[in-house]
Amino acid sequence: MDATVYRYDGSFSGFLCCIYRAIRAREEPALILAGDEMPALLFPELTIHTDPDQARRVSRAIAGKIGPQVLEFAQRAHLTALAGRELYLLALLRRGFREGPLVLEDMADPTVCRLRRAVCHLEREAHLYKGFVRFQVRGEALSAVIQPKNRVLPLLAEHFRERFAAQALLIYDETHREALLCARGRSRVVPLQDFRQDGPGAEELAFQRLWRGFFQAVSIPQRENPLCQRTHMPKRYWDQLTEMRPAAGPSLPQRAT
Amino acid sequence: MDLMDKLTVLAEAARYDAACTSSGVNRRGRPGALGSAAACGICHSFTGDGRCVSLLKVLQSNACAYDCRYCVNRRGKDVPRATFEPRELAELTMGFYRRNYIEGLFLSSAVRGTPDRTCELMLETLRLLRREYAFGGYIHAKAIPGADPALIAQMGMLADRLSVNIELPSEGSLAALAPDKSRLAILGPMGQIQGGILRSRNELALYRHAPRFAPAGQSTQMIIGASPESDRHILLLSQALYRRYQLKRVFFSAYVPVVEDPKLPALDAKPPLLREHRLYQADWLMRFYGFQAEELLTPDRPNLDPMLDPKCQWALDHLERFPVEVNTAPQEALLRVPGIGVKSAWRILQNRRLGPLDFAGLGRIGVVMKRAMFFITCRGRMMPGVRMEPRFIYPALTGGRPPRPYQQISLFDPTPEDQLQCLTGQL
Repeated sequence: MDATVYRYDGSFSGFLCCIYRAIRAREEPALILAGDEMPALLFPELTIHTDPDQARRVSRAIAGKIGPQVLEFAQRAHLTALAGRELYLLALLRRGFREGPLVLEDMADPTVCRLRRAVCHLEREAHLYKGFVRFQVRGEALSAVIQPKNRVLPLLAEHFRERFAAQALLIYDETHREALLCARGRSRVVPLQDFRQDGPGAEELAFQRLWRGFFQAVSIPQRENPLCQRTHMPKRYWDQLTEMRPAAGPSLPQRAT
Repeated sequence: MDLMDKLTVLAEAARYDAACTSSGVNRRGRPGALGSAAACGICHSFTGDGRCVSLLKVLQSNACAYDCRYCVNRRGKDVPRATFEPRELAELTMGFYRRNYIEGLFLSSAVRGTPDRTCELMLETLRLLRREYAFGGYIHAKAIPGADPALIAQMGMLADRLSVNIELPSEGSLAALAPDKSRLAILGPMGQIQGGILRSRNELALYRHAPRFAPAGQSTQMIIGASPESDRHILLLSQALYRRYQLKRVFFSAYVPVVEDPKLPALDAKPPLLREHRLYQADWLMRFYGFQAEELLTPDRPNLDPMLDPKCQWALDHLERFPVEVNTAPQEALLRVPGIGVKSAWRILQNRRLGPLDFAGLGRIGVVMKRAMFFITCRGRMMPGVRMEPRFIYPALTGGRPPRPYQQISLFDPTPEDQLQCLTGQL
């Protein structure tokens, strides 16, 4: 059988259509590429068009025949930064159709283990970002820029939408060029090519200064333990954190690219 | 004194309180209001000492009427004094919260004038936050021992978690180091808070919208290393507190010398961080692994081994209970194996419904094999090359160092204890 490479638009519906095609045509794709990922040279490429109807059929089949928790797991796994996640998911779902929802518990299996580790990484990163997002306030609008490895925004939506119910907020994910928009109890994740934060105003700067002051003051010098600090708050987050950045002057607008 | 100086003074005065947890209560945000709370708690930053910053931890005031010997804010000490106006503190909290710097407020206070007056000042701050600013975030408040029970009852209605610090592990140490506080004055409010929580829970079962009293429960803290109590004494005390007062947490705070006093460790003494770490490990064993304090430490060995975690120590003392067969053992037996935690024990139970487990599979499940391998069998066999004898196990568990019955004491070399890093940031 000729091995083929699937190319889809990168959305979860598009991925479900890849599954549809693979199972319908009894194919074992060599690779599944999203959007404009690097082209594969060795194999013929097949573009999978996203068909909402097919996607709905596949998602209904996964939820009905394997289990709703597996569908949710697949959605999360699709948001992770794991290379080749589509193929792993395809293998997992194939096994799931045969064996049922318990496949997810088979952590001793290398494929399941890899996917669950990746989802764990995603969920952990999302949890950290619930704390590490730093907003700039302008009137009733909040804005922040983050650089996550995984696509965490869908996992952050509910938390921030509820917590800041009275404000309009925007979180820009620089890595994946998407933004989470929340206002009036509703939220959406939209693609966004570029986003520039305004320079902080006087009140904003005053609060940043107070926060830095507080952060310095609560640390106990006799207990200093930088390794422990980096374990819980790795350095890659530091330039997004107000307290870890040196104070910026009011005239320097921060570019978000 | 401007706001910045005040904040610095009052945060520095509050930093020796170990608790900074924002866990234990789920509260969804309300339309039009600010704030919510997540049961798991959220850390917003980590300071240079590796402890998490979750709450804006400050004192309402540091002008103290008491003269506790170990305390930075004692009456006799020459330090700058400051007091937050309730509105000032409420606005600061809102400003920080809106920028997602914090999860809420941790409000403690020195005794300014009398306990009642202090309590009223704190209540005013909490009332402003909850009522006027409709703040829905987390609030942890310290109940001031000696304050009127009516005031503490009001505090519980506004705060998520209340705590009373037990300060020192025994009555004797308390009398020596904190002459203005007594055991009864501390345990009194603790019992009152417990009563309030129980009553509120009963009312909630009857009326869904009954007001909630301290929904995230109560906690306490004691100072480790300022007084001569043994680890066994401390663990027995914590166990009694968990049972008698149903506390959510007992925090341990390694004593950092801040005051020169003949009854206390010298100013240049290092805080006993490793001891604190071991105590927390033992605390976890009691809360999540079904251990009793009496099992972990015996009267003839009253202190935890600094080189070995308490669970390994227990397993080495009870080799007759091992090896455990992972494919058939009940959950309680799995939980007692070093290297198997609450999560991996649960996963083993799930996984073995699918088929027998082997050593590679256990590693993928999340079992820490370098510790677990000495104590388990898979399908009746131990890992090849592993022998269940203390003289092999001990060095492997302490990083290759054989147990030394004696050693040359040196003034300058780092001790083996120094070389162990303690990594307890998320208290």
